[in-house]
Amino acid sequence: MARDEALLDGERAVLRRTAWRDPAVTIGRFQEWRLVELAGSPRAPVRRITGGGAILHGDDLTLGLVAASPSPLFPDRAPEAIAARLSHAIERALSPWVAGVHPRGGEFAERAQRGVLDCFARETPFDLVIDLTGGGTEKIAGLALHRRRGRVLIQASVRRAGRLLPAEDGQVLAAIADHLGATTAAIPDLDPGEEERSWRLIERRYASARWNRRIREGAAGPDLGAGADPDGSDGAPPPSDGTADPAHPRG
Amino acid sequence: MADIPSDRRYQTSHEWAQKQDDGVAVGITAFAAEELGELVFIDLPKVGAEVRAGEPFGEIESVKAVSELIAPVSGKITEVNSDLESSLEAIRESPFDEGWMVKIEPSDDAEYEDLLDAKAYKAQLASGE
Repeated sequence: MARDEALLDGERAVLRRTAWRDPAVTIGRFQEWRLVELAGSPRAPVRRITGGGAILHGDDLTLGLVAASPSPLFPDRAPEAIAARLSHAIERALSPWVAGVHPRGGEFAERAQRGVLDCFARETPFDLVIDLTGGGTEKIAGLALHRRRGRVLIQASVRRAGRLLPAEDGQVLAAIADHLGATTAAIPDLDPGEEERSWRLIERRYASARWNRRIREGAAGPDLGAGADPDGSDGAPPPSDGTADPAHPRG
Repeated sequence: MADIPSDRRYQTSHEWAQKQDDGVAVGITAFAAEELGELVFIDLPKVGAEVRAGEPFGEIESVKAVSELIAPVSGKITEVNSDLESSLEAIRESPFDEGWMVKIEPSDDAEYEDLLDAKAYKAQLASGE
């Protein structure tokens, strides 16, 4: 999460994945911590800066895409258009492995779903779903955004579910990067300045109970003793990850 | 293009600011409100909080998207539109009136004068930025 935000504060367009050492839960920017905790989260949730619902990570492909908006990649600033752009790229990238994947479509009903904790129980037109044999659909990918100073971060979770995706996440990441545009390419990691920013964010935000529990200044909040665990790392360096950069051609 | 009131100033991030007797009222423009789509949550500062021009003073969540609200002027928050908590629709239905978000007691009048006037903001919208 910190690395995604560090990239949002940078200048380049990057698609990256977050790897999880152990299962972890992230929650949406304005979700109530206590409700997620009561729902039986296996670990202290980490609050994202993006919207949407809670996600149990570990058996998913967790993606972060940052870019300017408006830009050639995202000519339309509207959140709906930005999300649709990435959703479409993921759909096309998954299609060789996931039969029948398609956007949910339909109308937005965000306010009606505020109380739904689990991202994968919420329904949004730009969700990716597959049709079930017995009728209905199963959500396999959800997206959420944060817009800051002419740039946007889109975080996505694609369910691996033990059957849907190839073992090698890098294949999927590269395919998504390809479908985002001809100039997309894989790069190895964050640069030193971005890494430094991510560590500052961990200290200031993602390792802070005040942030994770959303305790407002001056408010009588819950117990501050149980800190959260950014990137599932227990204070260790963030896990290594694959990163693709839509701004630079692949060799 | 939606009507852009000429009785206030604007910034490129689509917030408006209007000098009033009791401070500078701040909100987002009709363009920004329409672009956000269905609104879900707003987080505004408390009265007494200090804000800085060009820095976020709050956040608003729409279709799974959290967007930062950027202060057009520096100063102290003197009033918050608490009606928005129960009526977020006002931001989309009446962005330039009932959809105001905060009032700021400005600490530097020059910042207000440096903002875009309606004509310049219209030009920005026309350019697609």
